[in-house]
Amino acid sequence: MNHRITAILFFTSALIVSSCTREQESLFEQPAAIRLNHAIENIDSTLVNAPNGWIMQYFATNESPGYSLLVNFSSTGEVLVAAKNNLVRNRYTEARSVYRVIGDYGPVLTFDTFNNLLHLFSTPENPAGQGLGGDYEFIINTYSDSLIQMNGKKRGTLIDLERIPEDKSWADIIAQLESMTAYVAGSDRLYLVSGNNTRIIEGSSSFVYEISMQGSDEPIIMPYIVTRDGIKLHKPIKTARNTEVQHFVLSPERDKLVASSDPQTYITGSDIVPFITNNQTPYEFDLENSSSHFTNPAFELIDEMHSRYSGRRDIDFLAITYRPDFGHSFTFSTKPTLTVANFRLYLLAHNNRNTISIDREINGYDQNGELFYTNVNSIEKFWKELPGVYELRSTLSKNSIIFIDIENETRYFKLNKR
Amino acid sequence: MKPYKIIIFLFAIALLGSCSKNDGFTDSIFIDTEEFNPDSPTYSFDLWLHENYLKPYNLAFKYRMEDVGSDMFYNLVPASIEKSKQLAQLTKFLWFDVYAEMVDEEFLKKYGPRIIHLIGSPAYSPNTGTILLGTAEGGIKITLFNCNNLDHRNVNMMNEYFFKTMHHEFAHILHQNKMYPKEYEQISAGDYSPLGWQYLSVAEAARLGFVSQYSACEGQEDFVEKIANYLLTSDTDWNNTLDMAGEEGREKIFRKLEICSNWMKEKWGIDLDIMRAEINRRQLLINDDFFDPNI
Ligand SMILES: [Zn+2]
Repeated sequence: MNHRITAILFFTSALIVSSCTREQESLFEQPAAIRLNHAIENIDSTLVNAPNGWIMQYFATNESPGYSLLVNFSSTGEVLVAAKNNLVRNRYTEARSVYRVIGDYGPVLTFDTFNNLLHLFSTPENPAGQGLGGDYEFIINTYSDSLIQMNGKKRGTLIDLERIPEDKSWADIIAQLESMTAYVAGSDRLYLVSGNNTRIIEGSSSFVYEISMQGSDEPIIMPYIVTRDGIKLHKPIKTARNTEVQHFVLSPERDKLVASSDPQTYITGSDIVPFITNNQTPYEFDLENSSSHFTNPAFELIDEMHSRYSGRRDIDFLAITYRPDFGHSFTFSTKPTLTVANFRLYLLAHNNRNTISIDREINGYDQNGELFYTNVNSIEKFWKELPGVYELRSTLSKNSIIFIDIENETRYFKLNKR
Repeated sequence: MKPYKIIIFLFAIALLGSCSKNDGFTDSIFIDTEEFNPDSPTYSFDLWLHENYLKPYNLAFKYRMEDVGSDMFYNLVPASIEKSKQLAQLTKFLWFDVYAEMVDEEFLKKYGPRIIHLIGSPAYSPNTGTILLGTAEGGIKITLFNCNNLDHRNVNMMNEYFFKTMHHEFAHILHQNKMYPKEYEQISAGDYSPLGWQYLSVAEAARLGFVSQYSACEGQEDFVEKIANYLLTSDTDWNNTLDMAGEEGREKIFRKLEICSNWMKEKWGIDLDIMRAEINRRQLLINDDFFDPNI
């Protein structure tokens, strides 16, 4: 009984599959079962013939964030999966299990023993019976040496396998994806600009965009996945210019994602100056990516604090912060004994675009600040270095911001969102 | 799993027959389309299953998920290879070998299931808030759920989730071949409730003379639950049930158990007490070193 249904359904999917197999014509003359076996063999060898494996662009449902899984299929029937994501506490993790390509509703790739990474998306826990609602059996729609397009068997979710180039190690790929994520995924609101039309995008940091027309209250829910050169929306969307867009590539300045099918459609962020002057999230000094003008007094401060307080109040981090009752300040926090000290700064928009001036209030410290200030000389050295006029450079995510002195471009510091 | 108060078996028992009259089954029923590939990561396990299940018992022990045939109603995941290896060895040791020793190898080859299918996750039923522990289709195929949570150090859990299911199901097959005396169901006649059983507490069920809630469903279930629970419940838990039952319930449990014992003895030549002791003895031998690292 099952077989009959399978055969009928397969016939329609065979049309799609065979269009991209090399033996297109002869396939059509073969009975369904033989065609299916043929497709299975071809897909199996396509999977195995990628020595470096594939990036599986996994979406559990049409409303869930995209995850990259690295997958390598072996001719022995074994599959190795690797990932580094929040589901495995952002630790690089590998898991082995087995797979096969079977004939069901057309050719189906199934991971039929438990894999600690892949089946995280379909384990029916939290909530019980449901879990993340993902698939682990995939109906293969099209396949080629570089791309395999599949649908989850149960949910129908679109999932692609992209071949990993042979000159890239998995560590390279993961590093690329991680730095791309840092460039593009942040908590600030984004804008989808298409010609004269602008829509608001929320949800960038959760990898599920909520795209709304200004003034409208029904946003489009559109998950995305970070790729090596930008992002890919789960499905193509129609723009105000009547184009279809899905892939976006990060601009060389890293501040924009440009649709590859329509360069006049892009995703951009809010202006950096109002962002940073209104920002209330601490941004930490990145001493590995700042010039010696700032790092020398910073290291001096760290050393002096260490010796002055015998390791009881070591600098945990240096940051620029904002408190409603105090305004902006250069701040440090100490460990293991936790103390926070604030030294007032003024951040003001400058006439030039993307430019800000920083000033300070001499003796403008809080109570802790005053105590430390009188005991530790290098606080003054670091603090007085900060004023200046800076051009700001940031990525789309605004997870990090570089301040470059407009009079001396070798004088700069970088802040990372904490 | 905790919010799920009621844990049930749901058995889809097809009409009796097919498995009792299929002495003619031969290995050829399962033509192995996949020949064993020595490079396969599961080669030694597949070979072991072939030697220990397929050859002696004509049973396909399927640890790879077959969603094709399984219910799309449930959200399930496959069993892990590691847990499958453990469960395969435990099932042999605590079920098949017990019957082989107490009766003979032919017994399970003749009456046992043809397929055991492992599933990694529990089968949650959102409508009733219950978990399916296992299903059996006409005694031919037994499906065991929740295998990824197998904990060989927790005998109670293993019994609850796996071995009671096996013995429960197997007892069905036996009574389908040789019916138990009619008087059994008269003892609790009027207390069976095919729809209401899940609202009984364990203590309420015990007071009515049932050793589990599901026993109150109907006579056949009562009968097989009695056997499965007697075989696999520790002395402490068994005595607890008897305590909860009170005088009246206890009396019913004893009368029914006696019918079970006599029937097993007379119809199948199996002494229920000796079998219970044997299972218990074997369960005490399960520890970290029990499993063969070469499988
Ligand atoms: Zn039953």
